[in-house]
Amino acid sequence: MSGRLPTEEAQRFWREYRAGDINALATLMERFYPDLFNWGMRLHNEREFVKDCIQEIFLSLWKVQETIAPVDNVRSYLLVVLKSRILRELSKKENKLYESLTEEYAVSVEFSADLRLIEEEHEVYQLRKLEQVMNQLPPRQKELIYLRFHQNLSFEQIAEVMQLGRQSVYNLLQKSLGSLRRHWVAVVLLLVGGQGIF
Amino acid sequence: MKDYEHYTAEDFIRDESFRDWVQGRSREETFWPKFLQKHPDKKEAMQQAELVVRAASPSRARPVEEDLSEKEIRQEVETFLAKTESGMEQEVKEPVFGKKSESKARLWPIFSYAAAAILLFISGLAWYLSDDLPITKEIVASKATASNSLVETSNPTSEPLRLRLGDESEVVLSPNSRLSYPAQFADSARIVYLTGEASFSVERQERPFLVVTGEMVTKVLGTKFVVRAFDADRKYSVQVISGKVAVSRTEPNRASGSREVNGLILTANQAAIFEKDLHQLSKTLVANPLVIQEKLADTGKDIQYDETPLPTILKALQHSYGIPIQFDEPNLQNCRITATLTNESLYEKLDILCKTVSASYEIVDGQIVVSGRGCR
Repeated sequence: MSGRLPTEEAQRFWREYRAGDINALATLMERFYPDLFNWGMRLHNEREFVKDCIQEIFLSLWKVQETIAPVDNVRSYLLVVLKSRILRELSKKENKLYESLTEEYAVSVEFSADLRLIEEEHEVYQLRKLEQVMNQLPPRQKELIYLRFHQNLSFEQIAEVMQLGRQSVYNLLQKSLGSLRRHWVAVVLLLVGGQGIF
Repeated sequence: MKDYEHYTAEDFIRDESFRDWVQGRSREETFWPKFLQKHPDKKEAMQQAELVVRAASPSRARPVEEDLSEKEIRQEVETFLAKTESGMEQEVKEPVFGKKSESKARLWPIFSYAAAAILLFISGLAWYLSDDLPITKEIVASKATASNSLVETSNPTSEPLRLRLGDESEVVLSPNSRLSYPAQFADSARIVYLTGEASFSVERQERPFLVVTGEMVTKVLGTKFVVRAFDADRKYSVQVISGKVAVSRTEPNRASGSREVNGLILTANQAAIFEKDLHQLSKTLVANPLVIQEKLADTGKDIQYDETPLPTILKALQHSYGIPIQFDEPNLQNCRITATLTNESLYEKLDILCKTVSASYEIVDGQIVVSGRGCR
């Protein structure tokens, strides 16, 4: 893996794209593709559908190149755009109102502890246990953890992607904390870790 | 550079660069291992943080479906460029596509560096956890669901009875002992209930293997061990032949409110004793430790020592039995041994060695401690 594109570099490519450089946009597409694809698959587990949606958002971005505004964070912006694209396409496909989908879309996040190169049996067992506890969380809380830890988003960005207000994200976090505190101290540690940065 | 020296586990979890490193997408592969080398005191905090970050990685529900090759991404980008008007004239440039994927195999220096410490931490966490998620619940639950299909085998004979369980694990049930187990193990854990004595050779699998004996639970993933838990005895014991097991009480001692250890991790040749009256678990060694590290050439051969410093011999024993031996090395360095050791048991060997140099040894908490005044 070539690593995630750092924020500043992404900003530079975004500026170049706004200035009319198609290769800058292609670079952004290439470098953020794994993140976008992974996020897309959470929202709708259908490869080709997700790939089409990613293709379309970049085509639209190129169409609006001359008028597009600067963004604070390219990656979280792209995640938001992809999400609304996917929900829109789904609403067409499933004949539902887009507005209702933004409320009830299903994010499928299952945590699976990264066991590569772990040989200690007890470590494996503990990680499995932690994973179990996290998988029992309600979907919205799992989404929050996914965005925080997999996509490395900040609190603000999570609020944006989840289309929630700041306060709601706080509340959601408090809920996760409450249900986890009863289960496992280490998980609380994880979420407190998330909270501290916000 | 950030103030990493003062980071706690939480700080590491919050740190994006640390998380990237754990998740294997760091641009600076060597920074954290180097940092750890410079600041070994941060080891524990980093390991805790690493554990949490690892547990939080989202699974790929259908790995094959979600695997995206670099080639596929490239194709998508090419399609994109082809579909945009200007893309037609644009040449595909190096900076966009020239990135070669780096080796996928990552080394985890942190692990090789401190596997033992991790284990300590994990075990600490396990007992911490057992306060909040009593293991009894897990057992009671599966007992209820599996009660209909629980098979019981008892051994009224005077000969050991060999059993093979559904997961291919082998159990040798001692006389007057009884084992209950589900005809088919649950997906989450393999749980058996023992009264009496049995030795287990457990097939290594991801779901743990649990032996429940009254108030004591022995947890294992794949290893050989003997559990002894007769109702009439005042003590239960677990002896480990190979691998590693965890022994804990089914009900954590809540009344005391303290974080005292109510579980133990045992390695080869170590044993746990559970005293039923005191509800206490303690660690010791098996009655007759067996050699676990044997060079093929050495098997059955005499080992001759000629004016060999005692510490050298103790280290060799430590290695071959896998049992930690504590001693004051500078103090014993001048104790030279000339002897031939053959088929003696570990304790006999220690007796011979200690007598020769007027030292003594004792077994403390699953380790051997050799003490002596030293030699001139």
